[in-house]
This record gives sequence, structure tokens and C-alpha cells, in this order.
Amino acid sequence: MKHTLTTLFLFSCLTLTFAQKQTPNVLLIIADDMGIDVTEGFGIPGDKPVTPTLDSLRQGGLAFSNCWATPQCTPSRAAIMSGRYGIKTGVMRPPGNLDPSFTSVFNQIRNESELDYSMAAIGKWHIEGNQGNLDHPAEHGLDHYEGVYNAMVDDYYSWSKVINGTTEEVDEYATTHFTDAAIDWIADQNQPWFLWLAHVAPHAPFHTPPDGLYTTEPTDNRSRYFAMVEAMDHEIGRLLNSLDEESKENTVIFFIGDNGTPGAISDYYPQGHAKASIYEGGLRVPLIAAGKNVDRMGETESDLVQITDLYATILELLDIQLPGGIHNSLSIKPLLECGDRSLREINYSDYEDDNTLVWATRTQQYKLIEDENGNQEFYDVIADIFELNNLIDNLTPEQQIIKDQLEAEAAIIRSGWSCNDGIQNGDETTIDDCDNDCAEIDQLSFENIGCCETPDEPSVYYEFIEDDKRNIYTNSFPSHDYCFGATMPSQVYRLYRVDQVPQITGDTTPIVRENGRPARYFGVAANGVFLMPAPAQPFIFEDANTGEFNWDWVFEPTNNQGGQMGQVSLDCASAHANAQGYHYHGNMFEFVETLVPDISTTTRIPETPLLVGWASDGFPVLYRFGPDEDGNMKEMLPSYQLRAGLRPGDGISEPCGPYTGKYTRDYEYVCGKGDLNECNGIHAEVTVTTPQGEETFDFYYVVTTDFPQIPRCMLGNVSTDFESNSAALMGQDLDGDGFIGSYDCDDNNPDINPLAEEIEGNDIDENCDGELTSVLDLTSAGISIGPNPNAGTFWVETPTSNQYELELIATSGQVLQHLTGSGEFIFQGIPVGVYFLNISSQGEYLGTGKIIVQ
Amino acid sequence: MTSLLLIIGLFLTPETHDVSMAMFRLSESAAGLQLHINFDREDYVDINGLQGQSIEPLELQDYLNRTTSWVINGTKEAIEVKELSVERDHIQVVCSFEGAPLELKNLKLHNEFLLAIEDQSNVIMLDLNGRTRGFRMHDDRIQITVDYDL
Repeated sequence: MKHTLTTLFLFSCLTLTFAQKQTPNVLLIIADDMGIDVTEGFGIPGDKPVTPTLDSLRQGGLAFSNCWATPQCTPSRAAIMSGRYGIKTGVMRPPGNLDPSFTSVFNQIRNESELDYSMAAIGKWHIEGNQGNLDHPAEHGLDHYEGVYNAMVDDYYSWSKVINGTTEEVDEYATTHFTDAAIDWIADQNQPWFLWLAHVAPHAPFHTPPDGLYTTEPTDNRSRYFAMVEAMDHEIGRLLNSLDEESKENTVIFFIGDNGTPGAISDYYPQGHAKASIYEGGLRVPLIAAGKNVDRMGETESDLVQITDLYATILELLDIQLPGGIHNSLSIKPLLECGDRSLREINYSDYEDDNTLVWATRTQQYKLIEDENGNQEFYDVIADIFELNNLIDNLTPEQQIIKDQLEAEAAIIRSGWSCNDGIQNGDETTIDDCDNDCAEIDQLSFENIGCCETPDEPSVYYEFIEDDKRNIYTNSFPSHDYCFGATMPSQVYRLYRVDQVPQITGDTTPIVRENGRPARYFGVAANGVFLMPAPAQPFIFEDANTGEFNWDWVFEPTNNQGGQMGQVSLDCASAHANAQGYHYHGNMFEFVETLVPDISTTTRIPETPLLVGWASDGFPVLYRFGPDEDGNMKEMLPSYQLRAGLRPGDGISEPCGPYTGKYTRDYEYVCGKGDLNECNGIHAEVTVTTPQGEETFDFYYVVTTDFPQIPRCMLGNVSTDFESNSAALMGQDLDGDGFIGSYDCDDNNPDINPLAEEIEGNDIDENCDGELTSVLDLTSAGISIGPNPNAGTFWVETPTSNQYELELIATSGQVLQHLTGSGEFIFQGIPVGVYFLNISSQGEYLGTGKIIVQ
Repeated sequence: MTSLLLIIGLFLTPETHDVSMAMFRLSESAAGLQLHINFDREDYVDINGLQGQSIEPLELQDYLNRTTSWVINGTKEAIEVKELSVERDHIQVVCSFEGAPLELKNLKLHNEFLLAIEDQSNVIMLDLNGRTRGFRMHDDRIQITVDYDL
């Protein structure tokens, strides 16, 4: 039987247009010589400058109380710029030249980002080595640079400025000048931007700022330093206030000091323990994150953070997802949203102090200082923040173990790459996968078996609302080309009922049981094919000795695709059939391409979301793109990454080797890494077009390009209709239209079913809605017909205000009579039969009446 | 629109994927141990030269007892086919072991069912003693021994 593909309901997305991608603007503000001891809110007692702007950022964002920089400005700036420690770049004291061969954060963005970011640095540069190469900022990827090129200004009111390769003199207070330049530059941008604003304040010389920018008239260097901090704070506030509302909402702000407070200013740390020392007073700096993507507000994070981490963090904020991080830079983006884990176990910093290389490593509690001459110091930095009690000669056994660990870690960092830093770097193939002695090498395969068939049966998706439930009747047959392995796709009739107004319940329902076996489908696609990413037998790790399945380690189907033994035969839609029906295991390329061509590969952000189905809890499922909490459409990124280290197994009863992605468990959820939660969903308002019209939800799921692609859990009230062992509907589809008899008002006519197009005026209920369209429809136009049925004579009464054209047509298509005029028309002598009476007026078709002569 | 649904329970939860694979599920029932088997009809027909013929329970029972051996708690038990149905491309059978104990402590299984089919796997699911265990048998593993620490 030849079937006609049933038309699915039309998605609003079919006319998708595209928008600019909405990753945030980045404002990185660097203060010069400002430690935590002079910054409010970092746990250090004593008087502080009055900094309402920084206070506001801290209260509206996240403060990091254990952030290490380096002891001086140049190596710290080089560390942010390169994402590497000084030992890697050779920049360990000023002046130092950060060679552009170390890819800067700006060049990395140019290389990796799908967006054309405008990028500028304003203020202090000082990583060029004082060699006079004024193109150095451009070589590091900047569109625009202006500022103080070397260490400092001699006079805050009279100084030389380098601007894009040329030099000019400035006689304006430096902090104010940089702020004006920043305001002007941002105002000129009409695309996403990244501004590195490096104030030279409050670095010496200690010059009193202009009136109005500080609170207390200074009397000495310390109070002048405080006034300079206050002026900087004031000007940062002016800059932030200059941003328009859209920029304010879409900008992430980092504020950081480049090293500790100078010893001449600090009255907290012991002498010799401030700036230019490897002690806490030299290393520990304030770091505040606020604005876009910073969900933790008013919190203080004590996790160990390094100034290098800004590099990877900014990249991930720009949707350049990394395996933990890159180089020596660990992305702390997860901390901006979630505080559920510690990212760094050991922190590191290094420095060249009077021609001697020194370095420090620390855990949360203990710190080891070493130098190239073999000197060592060991401190409990929780109990002894001043580092006055060197424990190196009186270590407890526990301290000895930690000291040995720190010493070994420093040696590895300095000679190569740490295998304990949560970053894929050096020769690592995945995060920290060193010392792998597993004999097995995972064979991953990502090539699907393609499309080999065009559907010759209808694909039915019929949605209707009943008892506050969204009912979805389907025959589970794909609406697109497909292929098959041993099992051909066939029609499996199912009815899914989900809440029409779904609610988050507070419970997480996984798609697998506690024993790892499939429990339920995630949802149903908008063509009726169900979504079931979890694998089943035989794609489970087998004990090498017994053959017993270990369900803790199931194959990740999309990473084990292909037509060979041991591979999952996924087709061009990441799907295949089994006895339960054809189902999607991952990114359903072929399906979505039939909805919106190129949607699976495009880097352009559509202006409207693409609804591709419904989760089993009733929330909508979008494809790749969706609105964020602020309504900006963007590509939604998952928050999963491959685990660090090596699998715990012996290779016999459990797999061994690196976490490659062969098994689903190789991935772990890292809260805050991407946009989406553990269930690949997001709390954001979205409006989608359904057969009911426009419907709005405050939560939705996403099918993503990367793992997990199809979500693996649900957060709402899950319908039992999606249980893996739920039965299909039984019944016959006599007319082959995809509807079994109980859902088809005429199962002998494939042109009549709930999805059929209703033909006006033929007295046939094609769409099974229980309503006929007939002659009565013409009454709305003021036209009446009677009698009907009749014996060969009937009349038509029209209004007299217009001229009417009446055609009486036989079922053969022959026009029997053609009358024009208005008022009463009489048709006489019509033979027995069924006729159609088409009526129009002034060229406009009004309707058709079915006339029965008997 | 009527919402009267005609629903059938699936004979055997079919978790198989598109590979040459037969599923054996051994479970406890009030009547004793029950074995559900689901396998590809075409493979069975090809191997036994049954093209154009119907699938007969006794022939299948004989084939099962020739290609598999079930030693339960130390005693070899013969398979009896109780029900047989053909659904689309798959054959589903329900079997029992006459005289087998209600409680399985030890199973020694030899299985060469359909192994003449290239890359054939036989997946054994044991829903016994409050847990589900699974094994894959194939050309290189035709015998398994399973013990339960009861």
C-alpha cells in the first residue's frame, strides 16, 4: 500500500531567523599592589580604604579569599595573559617579556571563539620587558591598547601614554584617564567585548588623587595609598555606571590585585613578608567575580585559586569549554555558580627573588617554600598566617607526608605538568591520566551507519489535551530517512500522557535504575520517536573471566557507533530500532535537519528556539539553542566533562585506563561548568508553539551537541507511560494511515484521521473532530439554502448589497449552472445526485454547499 | 475521541539491540523456575533448514536441549517448551524445567544456541534470589558457572 506521510504539526521554528550569540562581555580590572590586607571583606582586620564599589561587587558576587598571584606585577600579568606559571614562560620578575609564542588569552579567544570579540587593554602593560616593542599588545591579539607601558608613572598627573604603537603625553590623573578611555572604548563597541583594564594605582608614587575621589585628606604615604584605592574604587563605579542596561546584564566582571601590598604600606604582615616576597603577604590577593554567570552572591569562596586560572575561566565563560582547564590554568567557572566541590588540591606560585628562584606550594592548611639552593620552609597557614613559625625541622608524620607531597608536586610542575591539577595538559590524553598501565586501549567510534531508507510508512505525532494532560499518540515511526541493523523500524503505537503544566518536584528521576539498567525513556520527540539514550545488552562491560555484565560500566552509545561487532548501529539520526521501536540514542541529526536545515551544525544563534519534543515530565525539549535566564538566545552547553585520572578497575571485573568516554560513567557532572544542570535542563522562560498555540514554560531541557546529548534524568513529575516495560497500544490500522481504530474515526479511509486536513463544506469529518463543515457555514455570509436535500429544485438567498456568483458543480467536475446576481436564486430541474455549490462575491470565495438531490 | 486503550503486556521485555543476539531470562515463579527466550526467527529458520515451515514447539524444544545444558544445583534439567509465539521477526518462548528446585543455588550452563550464526551472542539474564545478573555467551564462552551465596 502506498502511504502518504502524515503531516506533523508545524513548528514555529520552520521560519527560524538567527541572532548574535550572547556570550558575556568581560571586564577584567587589575589593581596594582593591592593585597587582601587593604581590601574590605577578605577576613583581615584593621583599617581599610572606603570602597563602596568593590563592596557592592563583592556583595553582589563572589569573593575568593585564597587566591594566589605572584609576588610582583610582571609575572602576575604574564600569568593571566598566558595561563602559565612563571617557570613555563620564563617571566618570573620584572621586567619580563612574555613572548607572543605563549598564546595569550586574547589570541586564544581569536583562535577558538566562534564570535568576533572586540578586545582591548587599557592601563599598565609591563610584560614587554622594557625593550621598546610597542606592537607587543597587538602581537598578543589586542585590537586596541593604550596606557602605561612599563612599571609605573613617575607622576600620576603627568605621564607618557602608549596608544596603539605611538606615544603621547598626558597631564590628567592616570586613574581617571584610564577610566574615561575605558568608557569611550566600551561605548564604541557594537559586538561582544573583552576589556583588560589594568590600573596603575595604587602603585607608588603615592600621589593624592583629585578632590572628590576619596574620603579622608591624606597625611602620609599609607593614607595617600588609601586615597588612591578610594579614587580607583570611585572610578570603577563611574565606569560601571556608564554601562547601558543591556551591557550591565551581560557583562562578567573580575577584580583582582596583581600582588600583595607593598611593605611600606602594609601594617599587617611582618617585615619582609609583603609584596616581593613568597609569603602570604606577597602572594595572596583579592579576587572578586560578579555580573553575568556569577550566581553566587555575597559569598566568600575559600577554595585554592591561582591568578593563572583567569585564563581558562574567561575562555569557558566565552563558551570555549576545556578539559578542566588549559596549561596551568584551571577554570573556576564552576565555582561562580556552585560551591559544591573543591577544584584545586594544591596551589603553586614561583618568583625570582634577587637572582634566586623560589617557589611555594600549599594545601588548604600547609605551605612549603623552596628555593633553588635547597632551602625549605614549612608553615601551617591556617594557624600561622604570618608564617613566623617554620615547622620544617619539627614535622609531625602527617606534616611530613604533606611536605613530601608538596615537594613532589612542585618538582613535577617545574619540570613538566602536574598529574594532579584537574587539567588536561602536557602529554595527557585526558585529564591527569598519567601512569596508565592498563593493557586495554579503548576503541571509540563516532561514525554512524548513515541513512539507507526513505520512510514508506506514515510517521504520526498527534497531540491533544485531555484532563490537563498533554496526550501524544504516535506510531513511533521516523519522519525522516533512517537505516537499520538487524531490526527494521516498524510502527509501534503508543500513547504518552504528560502534565500540560509541568512542575519541578524537587526529586531527580534518572532514566536508569539503581542497578544501571534502563528504566524509562527520557521523552518523546516531536515526530513521535521516543528518546532513550541509555544502552542495553550487550553493550555493557563484561567480566573477562565470567562474562558477567557489570552494569556500572555501560557503553556510551554515541561513542561506540558503527556496524562492527561491539558497536552500536546508530543511523544518521543517532537512532536504531529494537523490539520497543525506533528510538534516538543521541543527537538526532537527520530529524532536526528536516525541521531546520543546517541546525545541527550552524554556529549562528537562531532567534527562536526549536522544539524537538517533550520530556517524560512534560517539560519541553529544545535543540541546542535556548534562552538563558535573561532571555538571550545562545547555544546551551552541558556541564559534563570526562573524569580526571584513571578508572579504578583491574581490567577484568571493571574497566581500567583513562576515562575516554567509552563508558557513560566516564563522564561526571561539574556543576556550573556549562549552562545546563545535571539533567541538561535550565530554569529559564521559554515560549514554544504547539498545536494548542503558544505555551510558556519556566524550565526546559536541551539536546546538546556534546555529552549527554539527550538528558539522562528528569526533574518533574514523570509519567509512567515512558517506563521501558510499558506496553504499546494494541489495535489494527486498517487504512494504513498510522492510526489504529480506536484513534481513527474512519479506519477504512487513509484520508480521514485526526491529522487529516479538513475540507470545508463537504459534510465529511476528515479530521475526526466531530464537527462537519457544510452549507451551514455559508450562513455566516448571510447566505441560506433550501431545501436540502431536495427533489431537483432549491433556492439560494443572498444579501442584496453585493453581487454574487454561484456555480453548481457535479462530482465529475462539470459545471451545471452558473448564475450571477443578488437576492434570491432558483435552481430547477437538477437530476438526482450530489452536487457542490460554490459561492463567491467580488472575486472572493465564500464557501461551498453540498446539495443532495434525491 | 475515545481514549479506550487496548494494551497488551509485552511477553518479554525486549532490551535487545540490533545485533545477532538471543535473550535467555531465567526467573522464579510460583510454578518453579521459568525460562523466557527471545531470538531471531530468521536465524533459527536458517540454521534448522525450516524455510517455509511453521515453528513447532517440540522441534524447538529438541533444538534447545541439544544446544544448551542446564545443570541446576548439580542436577541436569531438561527444558520443556510451554508457550511459543512469533511476533514480527522474533520468536518468544516460555519454558520450564520439570522437577527443578524452586531455589537456585548453583547454575552450570552450557550454551551453543544459534552459535552457527556469525557473531551470535546469547545473553543470559538471571532474575533470581532478589537480584538480576547478566552474562554474555558466545563462541569463546560457551559455558558459565554461577553461584549464589544464600
